[in-house]
Amino acid sequence: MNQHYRTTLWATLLLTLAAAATASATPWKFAVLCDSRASYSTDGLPAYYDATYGISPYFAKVAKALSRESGLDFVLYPGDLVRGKKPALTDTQFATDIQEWNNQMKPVTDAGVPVYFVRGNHDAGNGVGIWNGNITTPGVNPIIQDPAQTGLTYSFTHKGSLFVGLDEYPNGAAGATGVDRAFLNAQLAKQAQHKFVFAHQPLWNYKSSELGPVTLADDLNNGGADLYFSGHVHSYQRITEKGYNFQEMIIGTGGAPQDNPTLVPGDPGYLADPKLAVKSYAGGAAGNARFGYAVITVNDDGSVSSEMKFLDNPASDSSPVSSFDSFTIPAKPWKFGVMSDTQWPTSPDGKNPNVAVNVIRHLNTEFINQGVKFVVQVGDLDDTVGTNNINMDVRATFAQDLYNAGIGFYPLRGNHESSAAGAVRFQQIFPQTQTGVNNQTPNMVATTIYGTQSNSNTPFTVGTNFAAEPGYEGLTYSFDNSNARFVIIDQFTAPSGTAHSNLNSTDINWIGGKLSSKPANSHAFTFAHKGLITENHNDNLFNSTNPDTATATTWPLTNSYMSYLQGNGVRYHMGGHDHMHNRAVVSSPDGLSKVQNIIGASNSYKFYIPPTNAALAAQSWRSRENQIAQELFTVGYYIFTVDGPKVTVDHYAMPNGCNGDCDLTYDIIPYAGNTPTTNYLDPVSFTRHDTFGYSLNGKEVLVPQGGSYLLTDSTAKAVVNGETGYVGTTAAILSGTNGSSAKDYNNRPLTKSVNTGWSPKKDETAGDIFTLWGMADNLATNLTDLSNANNHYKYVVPDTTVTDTYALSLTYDPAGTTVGQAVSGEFGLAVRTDDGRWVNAVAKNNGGAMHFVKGAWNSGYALGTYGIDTATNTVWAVVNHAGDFAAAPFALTDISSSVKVATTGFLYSRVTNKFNGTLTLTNSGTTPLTGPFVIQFNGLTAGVTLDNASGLYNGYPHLDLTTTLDPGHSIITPLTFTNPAKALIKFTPVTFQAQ
Amino acid sequence: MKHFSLLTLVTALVLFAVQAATAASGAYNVWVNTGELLGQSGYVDFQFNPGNDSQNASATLLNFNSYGGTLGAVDRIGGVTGTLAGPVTFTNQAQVNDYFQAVTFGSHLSFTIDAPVGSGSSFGFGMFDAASAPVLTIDPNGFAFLLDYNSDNSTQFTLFPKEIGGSSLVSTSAVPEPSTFALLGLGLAGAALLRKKEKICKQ
Repeated sequence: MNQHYRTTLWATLLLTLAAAATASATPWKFAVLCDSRASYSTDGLPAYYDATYGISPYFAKVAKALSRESGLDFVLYPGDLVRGKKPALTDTQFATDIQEWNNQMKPVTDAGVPVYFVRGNHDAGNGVGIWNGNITTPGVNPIIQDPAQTGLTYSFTHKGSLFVGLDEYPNGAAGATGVDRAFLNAQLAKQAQHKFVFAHQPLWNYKSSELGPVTLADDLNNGGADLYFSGHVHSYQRITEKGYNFQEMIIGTGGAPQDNPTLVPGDPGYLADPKLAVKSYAGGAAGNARFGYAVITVNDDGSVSSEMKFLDNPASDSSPVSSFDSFTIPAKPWKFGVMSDTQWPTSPDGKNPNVAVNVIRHLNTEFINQGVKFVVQVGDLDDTVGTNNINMDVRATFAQDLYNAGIGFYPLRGNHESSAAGAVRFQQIFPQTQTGVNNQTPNMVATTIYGTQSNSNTPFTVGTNFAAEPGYEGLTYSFDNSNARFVIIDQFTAPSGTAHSNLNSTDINWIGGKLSSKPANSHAFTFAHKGLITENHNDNLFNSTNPDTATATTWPLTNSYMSYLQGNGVRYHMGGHDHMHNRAVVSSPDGLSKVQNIIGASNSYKFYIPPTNAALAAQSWRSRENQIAQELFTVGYYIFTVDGPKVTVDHYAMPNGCNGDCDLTYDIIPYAGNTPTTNYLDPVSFTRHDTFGYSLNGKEVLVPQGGSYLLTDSTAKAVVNGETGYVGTTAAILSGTNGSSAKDYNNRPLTKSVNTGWSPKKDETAGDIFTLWGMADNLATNLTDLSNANNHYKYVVPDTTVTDTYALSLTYDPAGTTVGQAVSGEFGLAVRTDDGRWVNAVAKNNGGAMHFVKGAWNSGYALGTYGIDTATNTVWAVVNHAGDFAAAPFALTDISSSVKVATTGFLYSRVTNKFNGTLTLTNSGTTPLTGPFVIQFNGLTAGVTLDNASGLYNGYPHLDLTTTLDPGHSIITPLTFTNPAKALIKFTPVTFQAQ
Repeated sequence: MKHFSLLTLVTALVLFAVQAATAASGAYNVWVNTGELLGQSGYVDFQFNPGNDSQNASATLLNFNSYGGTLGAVDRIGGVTGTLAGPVTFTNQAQVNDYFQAVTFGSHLSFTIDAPVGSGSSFGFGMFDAASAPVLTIDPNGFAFLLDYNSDNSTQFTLFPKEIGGSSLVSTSAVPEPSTFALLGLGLAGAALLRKKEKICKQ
C-alpha cells in the first residue's frame, strides 16, 4: 500500500469517525414534567378523578401540548405517573394504568422523543418488576445502571451533559427513605459540561413536609449539580437555599390535583424562611389550575436556559402554551492549558531522547490536576523530527496521558519540525487538529523505546467548528470551544513542499476571516510558534531576520494582522521559541493596534536569555514593546480560565535546576526522582508565578512605574455587550501609585497592565461584582550577577497576591443591607474567597489594621480602613490585594470553638416587666480575634424576644460586638428579654466572626 | 512575751481563714441602711433566677432582720418556699423564683444569702415604696443589689447607688466557710485560754 493511498484511507476513516463522534454545535433541549396522577374518589376533586386508569384527565391535554414542542431530544418524568397503590391496587391494574399512560404519551414518543422516568411515591407501591416491565428506558444514550437499583436509579450522558435519575423508594410504599448516595456521588464525580439530577420529592418546598432525603442537597451541591428536577408537590416552584450553587425546579404540573401555594407573609411556608430564595412559583385551585412543562435548552456557549410553559386552556386538546418563567444559568468557568517547546537533543540519562518526555509527563499531570479541557502546545515538539519521524511519534505517544483523562491536545509546528515531511507527519499523528476527535493516534506511530502507552479511553471530541487554511489542513486551523475561538497558526513549509517560513497576506486574510466571523461577545486567542516580537531571537511571525527587515512588506503584514487581532478582541497572542516567560504589550508599526504578546516559558533543556543591552539598544523594533513581565530559567505552563466575559491566566513555574543559562542535556529539573542534584536536595513543586487577565466588558490601563492607579469604571460596556442581570454598580480606584521597581534582564522598567471586569450581582451581594487584574508586582527575574552566564539567578517564588496599597470604592443598593449592618461594620467592600464566600476586603490585606469608619473615604486613611458612606451609597476600603470585589454583607465564620459564651441569671424587673442579665464573650483560644462578632441566639425559647438584638440572621436574633479580643480577654454586654409567659429562657449561642 | 506571741498567732490564723472562706463560699451577709424609709410602708423583693447555662441549684435566704420593721403579706412566684423572718428557699428551675413581701421599713435590713458558686444563676434584691416604685436605687429595673453566681465559679456583686453620684446603702461581706469557723473557734478558744491563763497568772 503506497503512502498516498494509505494517507487517503486514513483521512477517509478519520472523517467518518469524526462525523459519528463530533458533538453538535447547535443548542439542544429537553423537557421536564411529572405528576399526572388522578385524584381519589374521596378527595372531592371530581375534575381530576379517573376511575379506570388513575390518570388525571388533564394529562392527555398536557401530553398533546408537549408533542407540539419541536426539537426536543427527550423528556424527563420524575414520577407519579398514575394514582397507584392507594388504596390497594393489584399489580395487574397498575400495569394496565402504566400502559394507558404510555398510550396517552404516544403523541410525544411517536414523534421520536423518548422519556426517562424515575418512580414517584404513587408508583412505588407496586413491585419493581411491574414498573420495569412496563417502563421503557430509552436507548438513545448508554445507560449506567445502579446495580443495587436496576431500572430505578441510573445515569446517562447526552451531548456532554450528565443526567442522574434517582429512586427514593427502596422500601416501596413506605415513603422516601433514601437514595443511593454512593451511586449518585460516583456519577457526580464525572466530568461533564452540565449535571442534571432528577427525583420525585423536593429538596425545598413551600410545605415544610413532603421533602426528599435531607442529604441530597449537600450531595448535589458538592457534586456540582446545575439543576435538580422534582415534583410530588403539584405546583411549579423554582427555589434554592442560600449558600447552594444550584436551583431546584418542582414541575409537578402534569395534571395531578393542584396545590395552591399562597406564599404570602405569615404563610407557614418558605417565604418566612430566610434561608430560602424563591425565584418563581405557581399553583392553582380548580378553576385556575396551571398545567404544563419546562423546556431546558443547553446553549452552544455553555449556558443553560429554561422556560416554564403553561397551557392556556387545560381543557383543550389543542391548547396553546404561554411562557411563565424564564431564566438562564451562565456557562460555568472552563479551562485550557498551554505549554511550549519540548525539544531535547541527546539524553545521556535516557529521560528525554530528542523530546522532553520527562517534562511532558510532569506537565500532563499538572494539566490533569488542573481540570483543563484541552492543551495547546506552541511548537518545537522535538529537537529534530528524526529518522522516519520517530521523534514526532514520541511526542504523539506522550499525549496519551491527556487522552486517557479525556483532555484534548492541539499542537502546532515550530521551526524544529518545519519541513514538508514534518508537516505531513504532523497531520497524520495529530488528526484531531482537523476533526476535533482526540485519542486517535494511528497505529503507524512508531513504537519508541517507551513502548505503546496504555490507552484507557475511547475517541472523544473537544471543540467544534473545525476549519483549516487551504493547503495547511491541521496545521493552520481554528476551532471553537464554548464562548471562545482558537486560531492555531503554522508559518512553516506546507505539506506540498511549498516554501513558507513567515506569514503572508493569504495567511493573514484567512486568520482575519476566522477572527471576524467569531460569535459576537466571545473570546479569541491566537497561537503560533513565533511572537509579534521575540525576546532572544530576532525573527518573528513576519520575517526570518527581524521585525523591521523589509519594512515595506513586513510592516503592512504586521499592521494588518494586529488590526485583525485588536479589532476582533484578541487580547493575547501566544507563542514559544524563546524559552523564557515574557509578556509585553506590542504596538503595531502604524501605532493603531496594541496586543499583549506572551512568550511561553521553556519546557525543554534550553533556557534562553535576552540580547545584551548594547544589542537591544540597536533593535529598532523594541520601541514598540512595553514590557510587563519576564522570568528566565524556569520550566512552566499556563492555565487559562474562561468565565463568561472574563479570562484569567495563571502561569505556574519551577526552577530549571541550574538557576542559569545551563542548557544541560541530562535532566536536572528538580522533579521528584531528579533530586538530589547540585543545586536542589529536595523536589520543588510548580507554583504560581504570574496571574493576569481581562474581561470583554472592562478596560485596560497601562500604569508605568510611579504612575497613578486612579480609574473609574461602570457596567455600561457589559450592558452594551448584551449581558443581563446588572444593577449598574460603579467602581473607582481612589488612590494608589505603582510603586514597583521591577526590571527585565535589560533593565527596562516593567509596566503594570491593570484590567477591570464585571459580573452581574448575585443574591448575596448588594451590587455587581468588580474584578481587578494586574495590580500585583510585576514578575521579574531575580538576577544576582549578570557577569556570570550560569548560576547567577536566584529562584524565588513570587507573591502574586500582594499589591500596592490603594483605595477602592463601589456603589451599592441600600436594599442589600440593613441599618444595623451598615453601622456595625458588617457590610461593606467584600472580596470573594476561593470557596465563594464574601469576606471583608481588608481582612485579606497583608499588614495594616482593620478599622471601620462610618462615612466617606479620605486620603488620610491607612491600609485596613474600611467604611460605608450612606449619603452616597458607597462602600470603600484601603487594600493591598486584588480579585473579585462587591458590596456585600460580610461572610460569617463560625468561631464558636475559639470562644466561650456565658450569661448571668436573668432577673425579672417589676418596673419594666422584662428580664435582664449580661452575656460575656471570652476568647478561649490562643490567638487574638478581631470583630465584628455576631452572636446568634439559636433556638431561643419560643415566645421570648431579645429586645436588644442587632437583627436576625438565619431567622434567629443576634448580637453584634465590635471589638478585638486577645486570648483570655472578655467583653460583657447586656441582655434584655421580653418574656410574657415567663418561660425558661434558653438558647444555643453560635459565635461568628464577620470578616 | 509567750502569751503575746500566742495571741498574735491565733489572730493571724483567724484572719487567714476568713480570706480563704471568701474565695470558696457562696454565702454572703447583706446589710441595707433603710433609715430614710423608717416607718414607711413598702415592699422587699428577692429573686434567684437561672441564666442560659445554669445548673440546678437552691439558694437560701436566712438570718433576716428588719431592725424594728414589720412584715406583711407575701407573694411567691416559682420555686420559693418559706416565710421571713425564717429561712426562705429558692430553686432555680423556673425562670422566675421570686419572694415579694410587704414591709414597714425599720432602720436597717440584714440577711444572709447562701447559694452554690458556679450555678450560673443570679440573686437580686430590691425595695419598693407603697406605690411599687423602686426606692434607694438608681437601677431602672428596681434592684438595689445583684449577686451573680457565674458558671465559671466567680461571683460578681453589683451595688447600685441610692442616687446618681451617690453611694449604695447596701453593703456585703462573705460568710466564712464552716472549716474556717473551726479555725476561728480554735483561735477564739486559744484567746479564751490566753485569758484564762492571764486570770490564772493574775490570780
